[in-house]
Amino acid sequence: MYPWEAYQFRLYVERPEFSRLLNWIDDGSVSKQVTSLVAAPSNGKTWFLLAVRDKLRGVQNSNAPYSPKRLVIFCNAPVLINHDQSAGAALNLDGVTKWLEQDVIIESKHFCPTVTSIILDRGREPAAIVTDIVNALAAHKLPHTIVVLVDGLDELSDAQALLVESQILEPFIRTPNIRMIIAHRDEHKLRNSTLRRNNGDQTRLRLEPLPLPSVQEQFQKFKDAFHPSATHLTNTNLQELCKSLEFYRWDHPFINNFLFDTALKRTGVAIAQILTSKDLDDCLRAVIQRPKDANKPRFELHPQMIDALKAIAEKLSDDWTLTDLVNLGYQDRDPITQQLFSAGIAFYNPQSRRYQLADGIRELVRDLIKKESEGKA
Amino acid sequence: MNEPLFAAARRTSVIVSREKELAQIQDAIYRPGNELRVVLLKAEGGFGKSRLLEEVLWRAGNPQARQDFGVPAPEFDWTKLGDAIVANLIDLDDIRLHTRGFFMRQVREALRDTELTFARYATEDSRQRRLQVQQSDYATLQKAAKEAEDQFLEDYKINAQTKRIVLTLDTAERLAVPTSDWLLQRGLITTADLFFTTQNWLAEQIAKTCLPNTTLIIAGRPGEGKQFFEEIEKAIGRAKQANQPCEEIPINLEQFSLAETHQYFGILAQDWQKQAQDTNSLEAKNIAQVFSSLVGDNDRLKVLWLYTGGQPVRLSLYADLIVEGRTIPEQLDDSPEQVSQLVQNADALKQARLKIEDAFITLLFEDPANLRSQILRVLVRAPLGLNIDQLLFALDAPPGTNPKEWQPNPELRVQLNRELFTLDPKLPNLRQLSLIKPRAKDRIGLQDEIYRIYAEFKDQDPQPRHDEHLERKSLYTKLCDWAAWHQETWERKRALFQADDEQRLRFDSPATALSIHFRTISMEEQNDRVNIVENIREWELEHLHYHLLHDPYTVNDAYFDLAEERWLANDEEGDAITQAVMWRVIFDPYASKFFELPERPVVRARHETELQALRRAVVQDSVVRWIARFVLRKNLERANQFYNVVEQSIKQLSNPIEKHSWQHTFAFSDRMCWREYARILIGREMIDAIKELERGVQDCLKLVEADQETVVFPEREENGFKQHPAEKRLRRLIAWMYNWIGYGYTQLGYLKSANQAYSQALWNMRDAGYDAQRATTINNLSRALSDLGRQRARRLCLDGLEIRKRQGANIPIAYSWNTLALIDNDQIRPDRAWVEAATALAYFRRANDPRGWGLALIQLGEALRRLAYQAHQNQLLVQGRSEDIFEQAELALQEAIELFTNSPAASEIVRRIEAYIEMGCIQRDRIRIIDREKYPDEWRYRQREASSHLNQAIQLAREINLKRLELDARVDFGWLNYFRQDLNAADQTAREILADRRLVPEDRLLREYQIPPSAEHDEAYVYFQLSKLAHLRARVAMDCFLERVKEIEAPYPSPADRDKRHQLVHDDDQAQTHLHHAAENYVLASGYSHLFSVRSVALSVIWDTMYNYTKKFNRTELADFHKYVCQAREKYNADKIVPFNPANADEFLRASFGVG
Repeated sequence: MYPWEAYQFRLYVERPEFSRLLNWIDDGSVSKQVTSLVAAPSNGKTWFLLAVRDKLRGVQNSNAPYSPKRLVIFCNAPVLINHDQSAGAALNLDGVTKWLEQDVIIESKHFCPTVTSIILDRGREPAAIVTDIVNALAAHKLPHTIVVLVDGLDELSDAQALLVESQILEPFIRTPNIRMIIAHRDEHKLRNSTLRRNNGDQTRLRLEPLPLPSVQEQFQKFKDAFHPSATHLTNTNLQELCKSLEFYRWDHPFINNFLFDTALKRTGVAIAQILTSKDLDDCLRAVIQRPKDANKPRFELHPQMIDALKAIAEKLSDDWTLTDLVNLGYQDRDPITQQLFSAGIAFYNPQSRRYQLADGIRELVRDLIKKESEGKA
Repeated sequence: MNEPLFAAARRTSVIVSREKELAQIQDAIYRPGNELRVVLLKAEGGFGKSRLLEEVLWRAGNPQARQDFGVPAPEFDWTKLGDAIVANLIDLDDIRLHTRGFFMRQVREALRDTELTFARYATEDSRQRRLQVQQSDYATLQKAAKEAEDQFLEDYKINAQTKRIVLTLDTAERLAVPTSDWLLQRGLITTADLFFTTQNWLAEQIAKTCLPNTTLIIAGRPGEGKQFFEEIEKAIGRAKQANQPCEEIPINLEQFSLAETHQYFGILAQDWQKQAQDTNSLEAKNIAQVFSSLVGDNDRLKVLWLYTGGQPVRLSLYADLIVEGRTIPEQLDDSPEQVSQLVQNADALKQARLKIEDAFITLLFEDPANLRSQILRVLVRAPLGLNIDQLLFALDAPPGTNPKEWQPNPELRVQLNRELFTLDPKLPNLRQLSLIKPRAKDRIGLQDEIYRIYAEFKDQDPQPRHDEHLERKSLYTKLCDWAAWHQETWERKRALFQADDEQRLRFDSPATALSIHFRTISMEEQNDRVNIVENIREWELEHLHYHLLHDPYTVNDAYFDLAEERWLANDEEGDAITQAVMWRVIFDPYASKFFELPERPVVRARHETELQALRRAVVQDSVVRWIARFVLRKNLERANQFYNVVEQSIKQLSNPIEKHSWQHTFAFSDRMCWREYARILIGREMIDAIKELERGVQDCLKLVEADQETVVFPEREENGFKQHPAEKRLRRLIAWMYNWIGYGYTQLGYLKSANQAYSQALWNMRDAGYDAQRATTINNLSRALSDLGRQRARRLCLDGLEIRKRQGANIPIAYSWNTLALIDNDQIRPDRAWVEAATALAYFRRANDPRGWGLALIQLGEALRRLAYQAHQNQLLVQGRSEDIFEQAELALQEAIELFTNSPAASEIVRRIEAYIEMGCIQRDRIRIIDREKYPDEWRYRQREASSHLNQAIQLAREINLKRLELDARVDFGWLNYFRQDLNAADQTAREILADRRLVPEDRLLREYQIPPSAEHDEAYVYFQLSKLAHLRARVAMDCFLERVKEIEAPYPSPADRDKRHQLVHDDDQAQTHLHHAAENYVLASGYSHLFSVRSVALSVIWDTMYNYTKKFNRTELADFHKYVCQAREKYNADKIVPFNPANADEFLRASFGVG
């Protein structure tokens, strides 16, 4: 994990969907309690949720004493799961207890002191404990809507996700005063019947690519935080850097940060040549693998996968059919193809009714190919 | 990754509602009585017909259903109500079931697991299949089919005496006869014409109540099956009118009511709760919760009911979306009031449904990482259903993979097996889902409604439609390759046993020629062969199916290739099934949405689509096929009469576009072609028929040679066909017309015209496949060339034989062998001809084909006759006595005459005449070896027989104005007179013939001091016969000369008087006249022979006899004879004879291929 990957509200660049989501949370006429925040991998879902959390709590300034204005519970689903394969789909009771303690009870205590009386007995079903907490909150009749933010559900298997949904998340929405935002990839679906019923198709929020004006803001915040003394690259000549890539539209937060970091570190090179094919290759690997805390990649990246990505990006249009893929020499049954789909790098887009590579990644690969061919020439 | 469970698509443990319908069916099975009860179960697609049938089978104790679903609870177990034998479900979706023979076989198959036996039917059916595989004569096949049918009904009646038999037929709408509606509406096609169809057969059995003590449950869609159901209802009415014990039980299955919808979800909830308990699965519990909450939510339930119209299949799909769709479509959150209002507006409902269905299309078919989704994606594009190997190939093989070289992925096979067959309570296999429909031969397909929903969804916008088109094309290419490979694999097996059969034929002696048979094979081997051939046919049809889906314009070649191959092999049912396969694809309402036919401005100008134009062409072809079918049935008058009424009906069509299309030169010529062929076969008005065909050819050639922008016939508003999708088909039609023209000319003896027509036929089918038709034309051409004395005929014939062997068509192979025999007989190579004819005979005899059998016997007879005489003369190393060989020849011709007099082959009078002629020749030649002194009675008998047969031939030929055969028979009669040593009569006959200008036109004769006639005359046979006549007269003259020499020399026997004797002969006017006459006729014989063919074998016969005479001449005689020959040559301008030039490469190419 790169240092700049750690969330800081001051680095967050607000996106148009942000205010829409805040409006939804406080819209009393909304019939559904659950909404989905969907985007391709590394498109900033987690940061978005965390920014929503901080904004709602009113704790954007980390130097001020912590005094949240609203009860917002953040749930990183993978920490609730026992990842030992031999255990099948099972909760990680330590993780659940820790989360209940630190993220639910302590947070709730600011608004509802009675929750502290709830005993986190490991012998009880987590759902029962959550129900007790929710009941206590309901009894307290908070003046604002409680918000539960869920991340990482799409990194779990079907059975694991159902377990989290049923044991942890479902009890929350039994109370009308709670809104839940679940971030996941567009092709992922919720399993739990109650969550599904409360998850409206029309309120699904799709995180669009980063708008162009935000790039400068992101760059400035990034530079100030990590390379404050750099002078060779500033907002005044940022356009030069942007134009040095033909295809990439600078609309992907993770890729932007990676490339900003690379460019800011490197001096003595003309801005137009500052990014090399190796940089783009590294960036591509990083965005796909996205190593977690223990630097363990979330997705294994095989060399053939890069080849496949390059072939698709170079030879197919932005969206394509499986026949196009087959004509390229990749069967939809091939392990490589399957990995692309599993990692969410390639997916079926119900809007276009065709398949595509994730926005940003596709363009990055095209630039990589171009740079490589220029290098060879 | 989300694993779809298709939670609501599973078969419910208990059927929803349908109590009334089940009670009706239960009553139809168990009520006492032994009448035929016909349950007509009608409902639109997706209303649960198949589910109801499945329930009936299960409750009534069908062994297969019990094995699949277990023993029912006592309240559902009907078996205690009485004894009934319940056959397995027969799904009429299998296109082979469109014909009665296969249907009966399937009924027997459906009852195989029961106590009933069809032993006698099995024997007859086995024989019938064997004959079919051997491509027996049409009449033989029909007879065998009738015998099998009679035996089936007999066995059935015996079986039904003790217990009621329950037969269930699903997808009955598929049985509708593929033909033009107006043919049926106007009664142009009668019930009798349709005897081979299952629809008609079933109706007949119902009308005659031939299925006693039976409950016949027929399920189908009322709309698409209207024609079928009406026929069945009429049949029930006929039975009732005749007071036959027959009862109709109509059941119209309705959609689920709201209460039934409620019940449906209640059952689903119970089923999942039970599974949750049994497996302790959180997933199952979660799903049970979904359904339970639905049951408790009247508003949501009503919304679902309103959107789905209570259609069970839609209910299950919509419910599945609630359980596991990416999201629950917002429409399902509408209020019942909103939806009640919306459903009043059909368009709004359609739009709302499409939005909902968008979600389940994604769920079912678009998950790229999910195997089930991948399987369903392949299945939804392959309406025939696929087996596991096909699925594996479709999913695993990269494009362009040759199935032969493909190494299947073992891991994927295991996965597929698990998905299709493994029983797992947590995750039912695909076959257990209600959206899947098992098909014959371990295949699976989808419920019809799914194809419709999917197609309608993909058809909404141009881009997804085009994407779907490309995806399908890619899949169909693979499935085509797969079918072709299987077809080839089976064909190789067939080629092996066919080659083995021929290799094992033993040709020991011509004296035993008639006893040459293919070896007798065991029943097991026979069944293996039947299996091989039936497999080839199945894969051919499958190949055609995918070929058509891949490119519908293939109708213009691949379809006709196969249909005509069947037709040429006497296989009426095969022809009909081929047509049904094509019809189903072209009229497939779902698959056809993804045909992308190139735009044609001419069609658009008529405000039509290209598909509409193609469909109209297909409908028009159905009429043509009927005429061809009547010809196949040898029902030649019916073909003629049908053609006339069709033309009358076309004239009365009110829609001008439709009328114009039916009267288009192409469409008209297509019908006319077969009608004229029928007239040629009848043998009357042959010239008229040929002229009509020639007019058609000329018109069609104008069309095919002009481009589409060129107006060819302004008065008919017809443009050219170059680059038109049907250009190849038009070429094929032209080829057929030329072929029939050639055939007609051959019958009339106009061999050059025939040759020209055949070669033009070949030219028009060049580079276009048409193997079966091409082989037929090549065979016909080789025969015509042989009749013209061209030696290359044999090479050509061997070429045709090779094509036919590749196609594995027994009867056509046999015809090629027979033509080879004919060619070798023409070339006086009886040593080869008898083996070829005996081989042909073995084929025809095995297939019981009387026409071919008779023809082979004629050729065999001719070859044996020549061999017998050669044996008599010790000319050849022939094994066998001359008398024995003659005996065989005589027996062969007796049989041939019998076949062409009293068998289905009797309609071809020409063949009978040929048989009479050959029999006359055999008897005539026997006279030559009989010692008249020793065996006067036999001698008299033979000459009477010869005379009688030749006279019959002359008389018959005269009756039908067949000059070629009349002349042949009369010339042979002349030779009979010669061989019975009546020289005056022989000469008199020859002179009479020569004076007969009807048979021997003036311009064919070599005249004194005149320019010889042209060798290019059409009726070349006249020269051949004139040569034989002149030869006859030469021999008569020679014999007279020798007789006179004997008279002159008798008084001077002493060797010393030798010179005197020679001088006396030299000075004798009478002797010299004879010698002069002989020389002149030898010159004429050789001259005519030269005019006929420069390589004519007749010439060697002529020189043979001349040599035999002249070798005994003394010098004076030889000098005199030579002098007369020289004079005759000068007199008849022998040097100015311009024969056909065999060294002309241009002519060779023209005659062989029609080029230039």
